Amino acid sequence: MPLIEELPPSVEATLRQERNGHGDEPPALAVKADIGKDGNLGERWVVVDAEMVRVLTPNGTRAHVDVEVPLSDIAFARTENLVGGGALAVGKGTDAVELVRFTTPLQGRMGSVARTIEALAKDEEPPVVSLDDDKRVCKKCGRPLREKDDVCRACIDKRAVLGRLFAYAAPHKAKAVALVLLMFAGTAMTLAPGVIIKNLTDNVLLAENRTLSARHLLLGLLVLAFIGTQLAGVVLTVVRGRLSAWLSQTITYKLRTEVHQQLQRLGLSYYDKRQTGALMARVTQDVQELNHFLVDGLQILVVNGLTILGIVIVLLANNARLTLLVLLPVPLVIWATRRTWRFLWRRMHRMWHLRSSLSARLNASLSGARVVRAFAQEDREIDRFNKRATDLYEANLQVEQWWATIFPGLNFLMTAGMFIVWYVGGRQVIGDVITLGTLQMFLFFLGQLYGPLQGMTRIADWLSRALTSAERVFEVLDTEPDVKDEPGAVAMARIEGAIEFKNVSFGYDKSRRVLENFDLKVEPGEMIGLVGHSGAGKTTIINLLSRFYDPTEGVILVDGVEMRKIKVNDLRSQLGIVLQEPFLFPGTISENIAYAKPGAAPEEIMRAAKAANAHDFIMRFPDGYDTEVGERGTRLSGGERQRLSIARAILHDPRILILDEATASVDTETEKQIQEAIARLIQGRTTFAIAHRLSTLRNADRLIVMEKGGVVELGTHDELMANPEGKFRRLVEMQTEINKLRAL
Amino acid sequence: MENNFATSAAAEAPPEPVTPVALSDARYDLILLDPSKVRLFRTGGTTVRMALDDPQVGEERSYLKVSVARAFPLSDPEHYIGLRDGADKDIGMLRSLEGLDAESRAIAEEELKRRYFLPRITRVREVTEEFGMTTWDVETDKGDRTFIVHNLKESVNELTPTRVLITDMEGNRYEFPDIRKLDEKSFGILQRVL
Repeated sequence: MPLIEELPPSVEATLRQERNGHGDEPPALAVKADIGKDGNLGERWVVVDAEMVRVLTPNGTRAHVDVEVPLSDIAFARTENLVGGGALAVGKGTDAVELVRFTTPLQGRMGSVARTIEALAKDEEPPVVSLDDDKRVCKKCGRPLREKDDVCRACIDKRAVLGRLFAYAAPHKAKAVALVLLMFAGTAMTLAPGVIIKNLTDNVLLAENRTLSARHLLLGLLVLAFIGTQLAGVVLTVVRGRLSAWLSQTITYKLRTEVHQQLQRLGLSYYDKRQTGALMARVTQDVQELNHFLVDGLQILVVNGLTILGIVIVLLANNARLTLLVLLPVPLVIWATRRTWRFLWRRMHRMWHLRSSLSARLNASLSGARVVRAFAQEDREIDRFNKRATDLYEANLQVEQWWATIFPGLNFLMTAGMFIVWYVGGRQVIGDVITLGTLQMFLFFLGQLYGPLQGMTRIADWLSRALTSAERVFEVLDTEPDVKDEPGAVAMARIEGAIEFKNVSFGYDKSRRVLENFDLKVEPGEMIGLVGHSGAGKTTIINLLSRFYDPTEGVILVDGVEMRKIKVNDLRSQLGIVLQEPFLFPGTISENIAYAKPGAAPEEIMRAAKAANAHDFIMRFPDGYDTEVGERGTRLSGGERQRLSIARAILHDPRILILDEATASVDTETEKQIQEAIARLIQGRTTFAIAHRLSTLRNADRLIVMEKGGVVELGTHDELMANPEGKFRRLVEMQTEINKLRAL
Repeated sequence: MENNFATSAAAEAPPEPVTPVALSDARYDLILLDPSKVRLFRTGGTTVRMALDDPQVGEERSYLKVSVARAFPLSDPEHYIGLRDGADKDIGMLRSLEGLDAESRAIAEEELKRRYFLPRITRVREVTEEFGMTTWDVETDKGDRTFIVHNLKESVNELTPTRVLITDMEGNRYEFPDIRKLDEKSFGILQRVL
């Protein structure tokens, strides 16, 4: 059984004693609640075995039994939503007994507990649920996550992610190898001048034992070599830069398209659990972050690393003692740089925060200018703005001044190595331990060392950010679409439209069912109206029908075939949906109507528009069917959008049609036009319609009144109206009353 | 109703795509008029009148005021011309102006020309940019013109890679029917700005 947590010894012991030999089988359910008897945070346990529900509070080595209810007494179990938490109660007859209270995070789990207890009491098969909760913490280390299913920055297997990232370079192996070689060669070119300087000093400038002409010759050669290495360095950098740009952009492009492709394939349930913004960030920001890292980060990492390594090796080979002395301040510089960044970061964050809060205020007061004037609050707005501006001024000033103070200090630290070289190296030159050339070389390399070192202090952060992004991207790529063709899915070229719901139950998350044992049989061409309060389960039926989700239990049959066994594409292509808020893509009107049938002939498009009562208003636009709609284009009214979406559905010619509040939020005249359009649209199609305005469902063959995930009334309009006690009749009467009021 | 429709269209049309919806009411049927049954005329003034004898609409109808409009003025200007009554309601569509008698056709063409004022840019003399506004000095088939475009990126509509519409600050539109056919200097300026 999944709903079992490990009992603490005290509870375990007491429980054994309580049960007193009555069955020693493990409990059927054992979960911890997190509010104690006294109403403070504390631990309490709900344990259910075959006979009894017990609530225990651990108390030292023993536990106190707070509540005991025999399963046979229990009529129902439910959770109650309270503020900041909830309560679990079981019912005996008409009365209820509270078992435990708990905080909000446990709400979902306790819902499952309630259903399990109820099932056990009724001797039914308990629902399949599990403890795995949806807390926003990392499963491995328990650190909090920014959003659910986010990637934990501490736990990612950096090597695996990096490896996978590099795998994208595999098809371009030759280029990647060339890139690495170029980096090596480039590093060698930046190190060469040091060696040349040494030779120049020792063998030319100070080599008084050689002939003048030999020295001149060598001087010329060395300067030429100098020029040569520098030129080669430039060429290598250019080639390397171009190659690396090509590689990184190619990989980024591939990642970006792959992620988007995957997002298009994933079922809607994937989108439910995540915000569109967060998903967009994965396609744009995360990929961008990776791109940055691949273009710059990786190069800096490798080139800097190689440079530092090269310098240290060359120096060590020349004079180990001096080298070690020179490197003495390095840890200090690294430490100071990191501290500085952290210090400045915090202040910069504050500055950014203030800046955005300033513009938010500005936005509010300017866009609300009318209200500000109306209530004569100009002075207050001025004050508020001034206050924020002052804060920003101070924060800015602080950052700038710290910046101006810290960096000279850091620079001084970095030159500390220089003093050592001059003093210690100078003594060694005087003592003839090293040549002047070696000293010159040390000075040169020292100057080259600190830039890369500083860069490397920030690379760790950079790397970790990039890898987190990579992991997020890979997470999307690795997600299996939850609605997909099963092996052996059958093609269904033409659906007749017979639909049957058989004992269908469904919940968007496992702990809460929004549809319970729903049964319905629909004939081809029948129109079914769905009525009920929001949350009654109407939209869920439509989501299941569109196979955006699969039912948790039960089956849906289409023409006698289980929906799951029909190819998703065949099903969806014969399904049309007209939504309350029709979505128009940026593009022309004719493109939007033909969205589901690209390449439709102009006449087909116009015919559909005419049937949808849209032709006339479209022709009134200066650009007719070529009118641009969407963000950049002409603004269409709700009714116009609605009719375009009906035209789209007509052209799509679906066998099953879904109308979701298609006439909400339009005026009466427009509603009439839409009604006419719909009346023509539904002919010969199995139609499911949701409407708040009950009058619009008059044409429905049957109406279903839903409440709390179940059917409470079913029948034709007239049948339902004939029942004086009926819910539907009451709803209609209420609406009529309201309409009368409106008419007054 | 549908039969009538079929006979009138069969004369010139390629095979009809199957109408997916069972239509019961002529008001919601797309009416493609038989051009031989349409006669446009004027009675001294500029108002266009029409006599129509198409069974889809009714027998021997006459309209005191008629206007013409293109369904696809940008993507397919030569086809699907709508005839609209005095209340700006659809009377019916013509597949094209072909098949109209000479006088009607002349009137229709005149009216279309009147309705769609879209200067075609034939030469770009100069484009200067300042503060995000571009000033265009151009020659068009309707005369020389200087106009200012604000926010160029959002004012340019590339219908095809070679056919470009540009909307100025005041909402006037100008067309480059084919930028490749511009002279070299104009093309160069365009390449630079767009």
